[in-house]
Amino acid sequence: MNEIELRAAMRAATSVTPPEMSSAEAVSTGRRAARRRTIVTSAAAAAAVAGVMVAAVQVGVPFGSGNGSGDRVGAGAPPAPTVNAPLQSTPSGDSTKPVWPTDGNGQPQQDATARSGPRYEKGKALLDAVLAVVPGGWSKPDGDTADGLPLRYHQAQISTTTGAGPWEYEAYAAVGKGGKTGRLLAEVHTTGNSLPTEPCALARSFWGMQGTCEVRTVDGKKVGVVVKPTGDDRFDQWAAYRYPDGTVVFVAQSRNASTVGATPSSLGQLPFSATQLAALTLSKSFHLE
Amino acid sequence: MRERDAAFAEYFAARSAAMRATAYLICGDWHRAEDLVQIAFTKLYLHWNQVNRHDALDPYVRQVLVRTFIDEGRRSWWRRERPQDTPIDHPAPQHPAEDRLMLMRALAKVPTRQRAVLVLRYWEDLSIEETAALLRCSPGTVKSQATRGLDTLRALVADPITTQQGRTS
Repeated sequence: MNEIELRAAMRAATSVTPPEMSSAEAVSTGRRAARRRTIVTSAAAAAAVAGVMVAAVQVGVPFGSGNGSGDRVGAGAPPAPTVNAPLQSTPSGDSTKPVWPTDGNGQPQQDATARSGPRYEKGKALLDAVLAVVPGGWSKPDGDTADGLPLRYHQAQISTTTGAGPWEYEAYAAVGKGGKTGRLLAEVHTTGNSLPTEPCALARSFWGMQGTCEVRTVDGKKVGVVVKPTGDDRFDQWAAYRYPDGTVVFVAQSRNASTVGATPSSLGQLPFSATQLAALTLSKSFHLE
Repeated sequence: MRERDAAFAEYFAARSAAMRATAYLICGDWHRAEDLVQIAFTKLYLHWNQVNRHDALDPYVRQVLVRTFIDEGRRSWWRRERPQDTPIDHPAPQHPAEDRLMLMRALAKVPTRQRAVLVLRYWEDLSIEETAALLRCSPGTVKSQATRGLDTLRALVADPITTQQGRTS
């Protein structure tokens, strides 16, 4: 058996599959796990507080005084893996604790996502830009799918945990025609990102999706376009362009408004040709800092 | 939460089947494969706000899945569970059941880490470096384990009927 035969055998071995797993059940399981962790983390933190207080009483040191070690009430708690945990451990050195930029409310962001302020507004502006390029004759449905997924969405998030950029902006909107609905998305990575430079390598880096890629030349600029995905139904086509300043723009289109549960009827035809999609990556409104 | 749940659900819908196939190839049982997928995606849910860069999701889930399998392999799970002799109901299978089971039976005889290397390299198409990083070993180890794994499979499937009978006596 050689590598090619092994690949073929693996395809054969997985050709008969059980029914699809439920997204709703996966979300429920995740929620339960999050609740369990919150309870465990809180209990551990409470135990740590109690332990420190007992020790402080035993040695006659006021709680929270001295060289600061008494402030580390979370040091005995298990490491909190996410930024949403109720109490973060603060071991000495604290080198792995994420540092988030200041949000629009003057407080540090809760996590990588900006929920207000100029970065948030840029994400919002990207959604407006997506809606603005929807071709004439196409509708722009709003609201949610039957499963409660938003038909329009935007996000601005920092891509590092050190408080410095680069930033990523994403926005998508449903597009409709003839009672059927698909989706158009733009994603922008600001300068300083580590994405590939070669057009098709860049295109194939989008969400880790693979597919048949072609390089299209638009106004003398090389744009990578995946015209047919492999083993992934999130998008039907996407294009990628890296500006000379390093900013990367992805634009993607899908016949489906969503890949989860009950979704609106899928488009028979995509809004843009592959070349038009490539040209969209050069839109000034998608070139964000 | 709603935004996280929506994005998570969408990613799960898009990628759980592919991850389950990978899990099935390394563990040999669809039910256990679903357990591994559930474990991996639950960890992803908990860490969603830290790894929700789309290009980082697949590597993260794949890593949790494979490492969970290897950790459980130390408890000899594979020896307790065997590939299903009765394939899952399907109206018109494209490949005969015996063909499908032949590979799974052969893979069952390949040592755990070699099996993981074979699946990651030739099913997931990961590079040697990516496979080495995921399995926390050197690229040289990946190369040697891939070669050994293929050699083992080659010997097992060369004459599968004889091999099966000979090894069950």
